[in-house]
Amino acid sequence: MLAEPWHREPRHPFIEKFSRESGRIQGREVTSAIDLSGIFEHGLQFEPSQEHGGLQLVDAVAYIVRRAILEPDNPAIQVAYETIRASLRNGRQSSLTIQRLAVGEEDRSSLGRYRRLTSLASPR
Amino acid sequence: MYYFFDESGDFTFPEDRFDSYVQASLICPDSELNAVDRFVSGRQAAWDVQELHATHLADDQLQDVADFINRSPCQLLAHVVDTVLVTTKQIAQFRLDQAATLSRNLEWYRTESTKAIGAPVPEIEQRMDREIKRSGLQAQMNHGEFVQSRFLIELIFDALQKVAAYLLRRSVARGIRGFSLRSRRQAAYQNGRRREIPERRDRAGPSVAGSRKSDAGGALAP
Repeated sequence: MLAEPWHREPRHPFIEKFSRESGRIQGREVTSAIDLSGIFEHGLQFEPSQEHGGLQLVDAVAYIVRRAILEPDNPAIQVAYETIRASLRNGRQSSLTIQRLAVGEEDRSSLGRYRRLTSLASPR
Repeated sequence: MYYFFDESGDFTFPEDRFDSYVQASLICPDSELNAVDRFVSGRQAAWDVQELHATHLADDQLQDVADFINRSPCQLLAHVVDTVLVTTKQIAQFRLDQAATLSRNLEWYRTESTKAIGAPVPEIEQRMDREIKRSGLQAQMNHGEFVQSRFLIELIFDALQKVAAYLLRRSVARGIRGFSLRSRRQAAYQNGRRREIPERRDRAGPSVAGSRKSDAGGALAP
């Protein structure tokens, strides 16, 4: 279900492009469907990084974040992290998502490393 | 809208030292793609390199990249996992649990499809059987690849969620031609050095693609 105001005139550009009058979901006919196959018609493509500037930039982003975690006393890398911190905002109002597997006993002793990196505002 | 994904670290989960691994996404509106490519081409020329490899960049060069991203409308996400929060023992247990769940699902499918249409569809059985082996067997997919592909799905989901909020601005949505998800070709690590390997459709790719559709449905439902 998309935000209802998107369907009102003038319709939201997303609705204009990807909404279909009817479609089938799990074999059932539905109206006003979103065409996911249209949205993701290209799928997830695995590409050589030298052909895409975006892949080279995201390589640098992942590297900066990892070094900011592993090198808390390196001022140069901490400044680089500060520079991109706001752009890293996730849906939980944090700049870093900590992943884990929900299985077995969890050792949480490393969480302290992330405290200064997860808040959206710089701790300084 | 372009989504670029990459990771940092070798995801080998050693038991004798701390390490941390990061997966990141750069979300680039269609209108900014040329600016991104121009910036990268310009820096390649200025720094006399064929490609910007983060591990080969000096700190001031990394800062230059960070400054460009900060000035651009591109958005980012980063997910982290480490060797304390996730151990090889936990990964092994998680994979066995997942394989057991998939096996139960397969048995349920066989029973119900026999009731409904007289017999299970062989292609579906084969696909589920492949997923069970991938989940449970390190020979099919090592722990590092397993964790990467599992968490990549969650990163893709978060990236789609982030864009859903972004789309609320009609001026942004008007410029969108479609959604393109791109990741670096699967990398493998040999003696601590990264090497890119050709795409193999039976590796992590299909698992990601298979989960993506259901994730996308949720992501587009603010």
